Amino acid sequence: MKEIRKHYHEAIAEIDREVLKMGAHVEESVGKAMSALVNQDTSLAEQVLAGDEVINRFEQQIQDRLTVLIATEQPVAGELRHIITSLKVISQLERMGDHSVHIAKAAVKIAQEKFIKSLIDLPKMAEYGMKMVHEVLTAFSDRDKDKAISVAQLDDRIDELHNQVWRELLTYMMADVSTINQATTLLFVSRWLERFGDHATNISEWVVYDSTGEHIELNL
Amino acid sequence: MKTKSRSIVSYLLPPMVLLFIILAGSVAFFSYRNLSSLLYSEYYNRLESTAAVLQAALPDTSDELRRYAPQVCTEFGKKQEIRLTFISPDGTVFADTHENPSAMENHATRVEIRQALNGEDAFSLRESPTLSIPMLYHGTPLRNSDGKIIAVLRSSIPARRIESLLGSAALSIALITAVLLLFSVLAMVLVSRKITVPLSRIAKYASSYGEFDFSQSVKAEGPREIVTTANALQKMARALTSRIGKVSSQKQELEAILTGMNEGVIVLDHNLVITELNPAAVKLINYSSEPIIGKSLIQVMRNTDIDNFALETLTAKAVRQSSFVIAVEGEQKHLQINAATIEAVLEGVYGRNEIQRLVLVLNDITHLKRLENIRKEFVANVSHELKTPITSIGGFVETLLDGAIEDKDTAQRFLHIIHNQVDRLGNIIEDLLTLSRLEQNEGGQGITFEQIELINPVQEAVSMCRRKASENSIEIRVDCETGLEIYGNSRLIGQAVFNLLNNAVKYCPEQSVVQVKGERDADGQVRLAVRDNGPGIPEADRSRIFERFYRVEKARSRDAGGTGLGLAIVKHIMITHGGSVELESGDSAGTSFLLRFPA
Repeated sequence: MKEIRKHYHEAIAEIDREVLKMGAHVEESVGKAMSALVNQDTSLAEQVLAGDEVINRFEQQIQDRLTVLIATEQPVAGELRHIITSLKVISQLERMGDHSVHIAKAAVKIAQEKFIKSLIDLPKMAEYGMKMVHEVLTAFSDRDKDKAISVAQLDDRIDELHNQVWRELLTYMMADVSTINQATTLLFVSRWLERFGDHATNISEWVVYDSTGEHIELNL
Repeated sequence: MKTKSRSIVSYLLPPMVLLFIILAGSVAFFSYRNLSSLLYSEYYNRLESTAAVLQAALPDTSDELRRYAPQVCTEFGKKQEIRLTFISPDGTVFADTHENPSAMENHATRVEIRQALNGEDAFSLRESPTLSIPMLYHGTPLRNSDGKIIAVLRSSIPARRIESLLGSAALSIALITAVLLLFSVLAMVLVSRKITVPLSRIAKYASSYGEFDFSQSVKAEGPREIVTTANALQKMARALTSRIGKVSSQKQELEAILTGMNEGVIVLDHNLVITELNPAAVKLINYSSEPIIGKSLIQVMRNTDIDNFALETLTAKAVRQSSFVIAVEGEQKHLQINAATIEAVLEGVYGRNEIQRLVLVLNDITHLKRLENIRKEFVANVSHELKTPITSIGGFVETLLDGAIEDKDTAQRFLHIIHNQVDRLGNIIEDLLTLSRLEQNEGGQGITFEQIELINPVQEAVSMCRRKASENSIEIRVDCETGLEIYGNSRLIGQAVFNLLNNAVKYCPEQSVVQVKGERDADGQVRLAVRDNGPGIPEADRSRIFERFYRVEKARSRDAGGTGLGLAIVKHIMITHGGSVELESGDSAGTSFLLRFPA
């Protein structure tokens, strides 16, 4: 029995590693996008734009492998749940990669402008976002639902920062109309980072589903 | 693993018992048969001799015989167990010991009678129809003087007697056989125990060896073969113990080396899953959740570049080296990673096993990178600092050559500036030389040290700054205990204090107060603090002010005539003295430097 399933378990472990690798790419891409924005480094932003292709390819490949695994191994119960979870996780990661791309594009857009204020909260949001992907994927590969739930709490900090950035930029725009162009761009960046955290929270929910079979709501 | 096996006793016992039974059975059988034929012939002899005696005694005429016969029968029957029957040649019975002759049937068909009528003595063993018990019969013909058979005398005796005798004999034979069988089984069990007991003891030792417990030594007594086996086992155990000891000491040595290494070592399998790593590696990658072994590289490092690098090296079966930047707790670390593929063939229980492993050796080169940066910056700074006055000198000299020399006032002014710039160049070079001398003499070789009063170099430095301070209406207060003796070089300490005072005087606004305070602290260390109430040093710059050519405000300090090396020189002077310099506080309330001298 054990030997028969060995192939299956090895395949699952390998796919888990691929998911982690995809996550590492997403983590790196949002980090790079953010430093491209802060340092007004267009070549770094270009790297992020090019890197999205890699993330998308990861999603497709993992998806195909999982499909084949469902077809050939007919997994049941917990094994099936893990495959479903993996499918959901990679689609969330792909969306997160897209948000990095958006941020990188914003970085290119305002690369030549002088910042209306020094960027402090946005990098902090990105840092929390990166930490969330990092930790939630550790929880995913360890099948650790408690960790997944605790990671989701970081999202509150991101949301707080998002609200703060929102208010702050609004005051800038009201005070000086010429800042509107840059301020809206930064607002969008903040929005994307907030979405980034939400996707990470969704992954947490799926990790909980993976180990318990229950759907819970962490994104409150 | 356990199969049902039988013991030695159960192997030995059945054939032995069978053999014994065959042996004892045949002995019993033959002796029984001999006994029985002996008994029978004894009884036959008795019947025969009885018949012979009676034959001689009985009358030989038919009539007389018929008259005497019943009497003989009764007489004889009283004394002897033997039954007598007289039968006429036609088969009718005319006298019998037990029965009434007239009630008896014709006896002519009886075997012994028939043969006796033919003139022969005859025996027969059969069941008596009259008494319904097995009887021994003997028939003998009685003849008259002419030799004609006139009657048959049949003597008989019940076989019961023989049978009961034979029965008791058989019983005792069986009893003896059974007792002997019991004894032999017992003996066999005892003998086989002589073999099995030491054997099972050896088995116990062998299985404890199997669990790597070599504490007991095999002691076995018994047959030679078993003792030999035990000795061989003992020898094997000793060999194993020494081999295991060697292997484990090698392993410990290797582990000690790995643990003691500064470089992180990570061993990965063909799936890039960590199979081993040393404490240095754990520290470097700073992965919090245990256990790390069994986790994949990507999970632990979360760095796609390193993962790809490892994968490439593994696929190429090569040795590679590369540098990476990883973020650990928000700080960037530079890692130089050497990767090597190792292939090994394991001869295991399950056959040959080819394994592929990747060894990563991680070197934290963050410090080196920083030093490299400092060096690069230093070279750039030196060139820049030297170039500025030279450019300026070059410009003024050119203007003078172009004709400005004719205008005496301008020429005077220009030459003044050139003189200042040359001074500056000289200062920079002097400072650089001081620094390099200090660096070469780190530890104090080549510099004369002596016991000095701290107040002396301090006073000297203060008097050198006095003029400039009064120009800016800055007051210098010296509050130094007398009798503070330190072991050092008066000139160098004077220079350190001068550099600190010079900075304070240069950057403080007018009407400021600079305080120099020397004291001995609780540990017996001598401390000298230089405090001012100037603008302070911004937080971001504080960690770097002791670097060469580092300036808080680039333009202003150069205008003030600094070389950018003053604090670096102070630091090196203090290092030479085995002490230290630190920035005590640098906020807007003023700057305070603290020099510590060793006790």
